[in-house]
Amino acid sequence: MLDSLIKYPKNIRFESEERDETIYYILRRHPITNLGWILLSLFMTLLPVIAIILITPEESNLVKYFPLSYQLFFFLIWYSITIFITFENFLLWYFSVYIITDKRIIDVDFNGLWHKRISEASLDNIEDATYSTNNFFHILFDYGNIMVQTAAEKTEFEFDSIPKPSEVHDVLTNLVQQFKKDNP
Amino acid sequence: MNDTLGLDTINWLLIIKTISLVFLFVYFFASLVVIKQIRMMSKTIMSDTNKYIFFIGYFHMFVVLAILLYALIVI
Repeated sequence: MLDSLIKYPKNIRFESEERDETIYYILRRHPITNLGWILLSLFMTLLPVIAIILITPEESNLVKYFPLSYQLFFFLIWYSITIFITFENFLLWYFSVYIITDKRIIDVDFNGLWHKRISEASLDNIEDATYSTNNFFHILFDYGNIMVQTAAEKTEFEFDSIPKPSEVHDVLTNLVQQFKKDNP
Repeated sequence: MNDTLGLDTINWLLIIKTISLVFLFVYFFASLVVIKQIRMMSKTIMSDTNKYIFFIGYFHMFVVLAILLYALIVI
């Protein structure tokens, strides 16, 4: 369910899915791209504990200046903000997906609390697809980008940081060829 | 500031309490927005996992509400 590469998903549907449409792949950014906010969340989780360990007796007087109810209050606010940041980043990762079906490709992009963008291109409109792995981490964790050139108004799709780009690229180009052969 | 509950201390605590309450009201509103956001997202991509995500969203909202009530009643 939380995979970044789901082949032939059984229990997943999307907003504009047609009855006779088959989903081949649902793709998300590789989990390693979440490392930044995961480390931030861990740091925020551990910071109060580290502060308690490192605090000197003189500094602890400053903490004791606040009544116990206030200390507990700040503690609760801190951890609920940590939950908020973690959850929000997870949501943006989880719901920002690339979908490859037997008819089209779809890019669902969520950014922040309000921004939502859905782009799609028919397989018929796809002219060229190239994939690239650009750095050490791409090779180490086997992820990369796929650039899809289309004949439509939006000329380029980018599947950003998806896992197994060579495999997905192969499937996508085969689908495009098959689609064009079946619908000349 | 000194460590006794003198006039300065009480004023400081009142200022901190007021700022915290305003912050918590805004934060509670943000947690409601997150629920709306999940609702919008889960209409776009429908899967079995969405119910767990809703659960976390509501849990977060109730935690914020509990902190807000704690702040209003206790401090």
